[in-house]
Amino acid sequence: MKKLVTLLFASLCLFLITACSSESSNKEDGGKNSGEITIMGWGGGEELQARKDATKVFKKMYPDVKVKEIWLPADSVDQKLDAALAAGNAADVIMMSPDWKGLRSKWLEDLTPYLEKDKIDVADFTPGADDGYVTPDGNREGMPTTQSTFLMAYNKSIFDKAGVPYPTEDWTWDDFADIAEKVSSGSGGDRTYGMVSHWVQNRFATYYYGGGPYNSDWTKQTIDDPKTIKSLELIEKLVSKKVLPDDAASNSIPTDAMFVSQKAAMYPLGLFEAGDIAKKVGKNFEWGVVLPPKDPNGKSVNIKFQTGFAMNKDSKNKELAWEYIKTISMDKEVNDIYAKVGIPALKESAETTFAEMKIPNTDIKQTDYMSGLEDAVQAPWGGALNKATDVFEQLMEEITTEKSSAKEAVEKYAPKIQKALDEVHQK
Amino acid sequence: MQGQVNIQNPTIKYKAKKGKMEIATRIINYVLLVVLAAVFAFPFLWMVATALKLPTEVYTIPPKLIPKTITWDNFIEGWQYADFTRYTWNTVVVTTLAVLGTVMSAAVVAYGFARFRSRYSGLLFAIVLGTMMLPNQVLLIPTYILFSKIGWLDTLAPLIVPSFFGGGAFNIFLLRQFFKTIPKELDEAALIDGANTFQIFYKILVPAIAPALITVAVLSVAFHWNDFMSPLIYLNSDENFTLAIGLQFFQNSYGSSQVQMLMAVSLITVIPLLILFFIGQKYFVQGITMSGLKG
Repeated sequence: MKKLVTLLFASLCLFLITACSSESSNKEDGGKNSGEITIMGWGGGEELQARKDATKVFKKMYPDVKVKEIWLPADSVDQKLDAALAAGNAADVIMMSPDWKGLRSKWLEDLTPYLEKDKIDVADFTPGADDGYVTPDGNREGMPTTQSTFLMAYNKSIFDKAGVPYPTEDWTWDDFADIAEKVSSGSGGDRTYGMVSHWVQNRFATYYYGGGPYNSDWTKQTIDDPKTIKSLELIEKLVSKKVLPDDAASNSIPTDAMFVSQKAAMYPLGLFEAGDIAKKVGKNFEWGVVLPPKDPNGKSVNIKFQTGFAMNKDSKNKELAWEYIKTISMDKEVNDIYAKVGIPALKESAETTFAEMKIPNTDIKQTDYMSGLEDAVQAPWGGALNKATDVFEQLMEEITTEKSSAKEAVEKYAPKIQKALDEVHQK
Repeated sequence: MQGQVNIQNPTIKYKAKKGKMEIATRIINYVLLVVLAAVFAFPFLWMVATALKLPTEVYTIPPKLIPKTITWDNFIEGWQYADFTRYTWNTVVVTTLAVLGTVMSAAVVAYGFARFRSRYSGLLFAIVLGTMMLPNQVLLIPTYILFSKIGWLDTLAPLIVPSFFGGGAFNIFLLRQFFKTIPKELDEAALIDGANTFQIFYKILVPAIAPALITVAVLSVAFHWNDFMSPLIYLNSDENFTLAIGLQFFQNSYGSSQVQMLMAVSLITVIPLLILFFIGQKYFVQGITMSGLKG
C-alpha cells in the first residue's frame, strides 16, 4: 500500500513537472504558436479568394492559432475601420496600402524590431514591392504582399482601320498624342476616342514629360514645374480635340465598357483587371498590349499600386500578428497564391510562378507587367496626402471639363496643394 | 320640331366636342403614362437583360436589350460566387424581426403622441422629429462603441433590437398623422364600454390604421432588406453578412466588377421586394394619402 502511495505521489510529481515545463516552454516561445488573432482586409472576386487561401496556408502552418477573419467589400472599409479604431477593438492585422490613409497615422506598430529579430532580408522582395511602407523617419508600417502596374492595351481592329501602325515599346507621349488623334474618328454618339478616361489617368498626368506632383520628401509641390504643366497641357489638348472623352461622355458608359465596346482605341490596363477585360472582349476583336509611353528621359511612365498588411499598435497579440504578416509577405506557398492576382512580394515567386503565368484567354505574358515595374512610381495620391489629392482632383476636373486651361488651373490650385502638403508636415 | 332641333344642336355638338376632348385627354394621359412607365421600367428591364447575357455581350454598341445568346449561367455562377444562401437567410431574419419591431413600437409611440397630452409632449415630439435631421454617420462611432461594450458586435442584434425602441421618427410621424384622422369619439365610446387605454389601442385603433401599418411595414422591409451601412459596421463574419454586403463582393479593389453576375443575383434578391410591393401596393398608397403625406 505504501509503495502504491509512493508511486502515485511520484507520478503526480512527474505530471506536475511536465505540465510546468510545457507551460514554461510556451512562455519562452512567447505564446507565438497559440492564441487568437483577428485579421481584416478587403477585396472581391479572385483577389479576395487569394487572401482567404493565403490565410488557410497560415492556419495550416500554425494549427493552434485561431484566426478570426474579417473580409469586407473593397469600397466600404474606411468607416468601419474608423469606428473600430475609435472603439479600441480593431483587428490585430490590418490590410494596408501605401496610398491608404492608415499609413503615417498613430494606429500602426513599427515593424522594424520584428524584422531585425527575425533577420528578414528586404532584398528578398520583388524590386519596388516594399516602397512606401517605411516612412522617412524610419518607421516600418507594413509589409508588402502584391503590386500591380499598367500596360497600354490597344484595339488592333481600330488601328488597322485607321491605317496606324501598332505602338512599340519606344513610343513617347508625343507619339501617343499623335497616334491617339489618328485613331479617333466619328462624332457625337458615334465617336471613337483615342483612349478612355481611366481613373488612373490623373495619377499618370503629371509624369508625361519628366515632371511630377511633388518632391521626394513631400515638402514642395511641383505642379507648377514647366515639365508638369506641359503634361497637363497635353491632357487639355487631348480633351479639346475629343481624343479623350470629356466628363459627360465618360460618365455615360463605364470606362472598361468604352474599350470593350470599341468606343475607344486604347486603355491603360492594370494587372488587376486584365483577366476581366480579356473575358469581356472575348473574340469580339483583336487587341495587344505595350508598355506605356516614355518620358523625355527614356523612362516608361508607369504607376504601381501595392497592397500589404500592417499591425494594429493596440494589438493584444503582437507576436502572432507578426507571424501572420511575415508569413503572408515572405512564404513561398502564399506568394504563389498571390501570383494569381498581382506581382507577388517575394522575388522568388515573382520570377517563377508569376512569370510563367499568362492572362487567361490572351497571349499576354504576366512578365510584361514586371517590365513595367522598372520605372514605375508609387501611386502619388491618397494616403496621408488625402487633402492634397482632393485639391489635385479639382485641378484636373477644371481641365477635363474645359473650365480652365492647364496654366490657369495650375495657377489657381498649386498654392492650395502646397498648403495641403505643409499641413501634412505640421501634423 | 325645327325649334327643337335648333335648341338640341348646340348641346349635341357641345357633348360631342366634350367627348372628343375627353378621349384626346385620355389618350394623352395614357401615352404619357406609358412613356413614363417605360422610362421607370427600363433600368429593371436592363437588369434582366444583362443577367441573361454572356460577358462578351454586356457592353456591345449599340446596346441590345435582347441578348443574342441567352445564358442562365450568371444566376448559377453568381449565386455560388459567395455564400448567398446564407446571406439571404440572414437578411430574411433581420428584415422580419426588424419590421415587426418597427411596426409594433412605432404604433405604440405614435399612439402616445396622438392621444395623450402633457406639458412636454410638444417638445418631446419635436425632439423625436429632430432625430431625423441627424445623419447616420454622426451616430456611427458612438453606437459602434455602445454595441461593442455590450458584446453585440458580429451578431444580428444591432440590426434588429433598436427597431423595438421607437421604430424611427418618420414612422412615428406617419402613424401619428394617421391616428389623428380617427375621431376621438371612438376612443371615448370604447372607454364608456369599459375598455382600458391599451384595449382601445389594439382593439379599436390598430384595426382602423391597418393601411398605415402596412405602409410602415413595406417601407421598413425595403429599408432593412437594402440596408448596407449598419451590417457593414456591426458585422464581421462572412456567416453573418446580409445580401446588401454580399452584392458588393462582385466588385474588386479597383472598381472592376462582374456586372452580369451582379445583375443576376440582384434580380433574385429584388424579387421578394417586388412581390411584397405588389401585394401591399393598394394599402401603401392608401396609407400615404390618408396620413396627409402626399405631395
